[in-house]
Amino acid sequence: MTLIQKMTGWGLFLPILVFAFYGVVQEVQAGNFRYIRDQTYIEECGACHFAYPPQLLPPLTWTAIMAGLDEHFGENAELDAETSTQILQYLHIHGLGVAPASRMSKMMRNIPDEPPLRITEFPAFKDAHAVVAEQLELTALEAGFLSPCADCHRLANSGIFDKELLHPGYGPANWGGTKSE
Amino acid sequence: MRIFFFSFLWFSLPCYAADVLDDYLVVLAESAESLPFTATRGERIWYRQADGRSCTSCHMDSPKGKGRHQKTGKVIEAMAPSINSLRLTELKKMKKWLLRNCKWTFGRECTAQEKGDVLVWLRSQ
Ligand code: HEC
Ligand code: HEC
Ligand code: HEC
Repeated sequence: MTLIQKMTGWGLFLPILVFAFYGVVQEVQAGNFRYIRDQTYIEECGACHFAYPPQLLPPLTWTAIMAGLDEHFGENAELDAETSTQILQYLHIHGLGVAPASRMSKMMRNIPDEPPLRITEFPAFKDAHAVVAEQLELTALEAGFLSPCADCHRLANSGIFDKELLHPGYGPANWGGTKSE
Repeated sequence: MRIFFFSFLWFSLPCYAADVLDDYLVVLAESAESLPFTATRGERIWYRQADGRSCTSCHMDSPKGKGRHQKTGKVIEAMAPSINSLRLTELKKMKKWLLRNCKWTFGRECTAQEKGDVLVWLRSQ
């Protein structure tokens, strides 16, 4: 191999290495957690609505939700004890504040002692979505309006809710007037 | 040779699938008030209105079309096995949803007769 060839080789290889390293650092800083899926969870808790990733709620709230499935927001979502225990375990291991810190961690801010059952009623969630009503020219958002996360958050099914990754023109116009998932 | 074996397995799948429902219907028939299950009665149950609620509140008029959950708006895949071959193939799933959905729609559990009738009708779709 001539010196020229060697130098071109390294000249190409080193920038790639540096670039890859930069990517990893960026990824870590952005704090995108890895979304660990669970097929049972998605099937059981994704039948009536979008399967909310576990890192959206603290374990305490998940426990409360799982304990009240017979009266679940006006629906009966009861599960047999075995499935229910399995799902609760999954939710606890990956719940908010348990999983490694990420962009989602700011949802932990100002949680009252008795946390609400709805993600959409957490103070930090409400703060993040204060602009939605304004942008859609609504005076108030009815309960459940913001529940179908995937209607606005393009990568919700991968557990990513960054504000840079919304559907263009999110909102009812995007859904044809009615909510979907 | 192996290809024959696998294609045999593949084509025999639907037979096993049908078995699950057949077995369940036998169980239901044992506890029903012994009228044979009919699709006509099943169809009537599907469209029966109770306080403005019916099976079609979420599954929409035709079991062959997609549904939409009345409260959350989530799309529900078609119920007819002719469109969606995964339907009515899993015992646990059928039991669970018949229990929940009858309570939601009629405010009570369905009788074994009603379950059998509605399943026979859905299967014919
Ligand atoms: C039988 C249907 C059904 C099933 C099954 C179901 N849910 Fe729900 N869930 C609902 C409805 C209806 C709402 C209220 C949605 C609305 O207001 O639009 C809801 C709301 C929620 C919310 C609050 C969303 C918000 O607004 O912040 C959470 C969290 C939730 N469900 C978790 C679960 C979990 C966990 C499971 C599985 C154990 C589950 N759900 C299974 C029907 C269901
Ligand atoms: C009607 C559309 C809409 C729905 C539905 C919606 N969001 Fe959002 N969300 C937004 C918008 C718009 C923003 C960005 C607000 C801003 O510009 O600061 C946002 C911001 C966020 C953020 C902060 C992101 C960041 O980068 O700081 C999180 C986290 C989030 N949403 C989670 C959710 C979850 C979880 C759900 C479902 C329970 C949901 N959203 C439902 C529109 C929506
Ligand atoms: C409140 C909404 C709602 C109503 C009303 C409703 N269903 Fe359902 N049903 C669902 C959902 C959600 C599923 C799960 C769909 C899925 O797995 O994709 C389901 C599933 C089913 C299944 C299981 C199908 C399978 O995959 O094997 C049967 C059977 C069924 N429904 C029958 C009925 C009957 C009969 C009625 C009327 C008494 C009814 N449903 C009313 C929401 C509803």
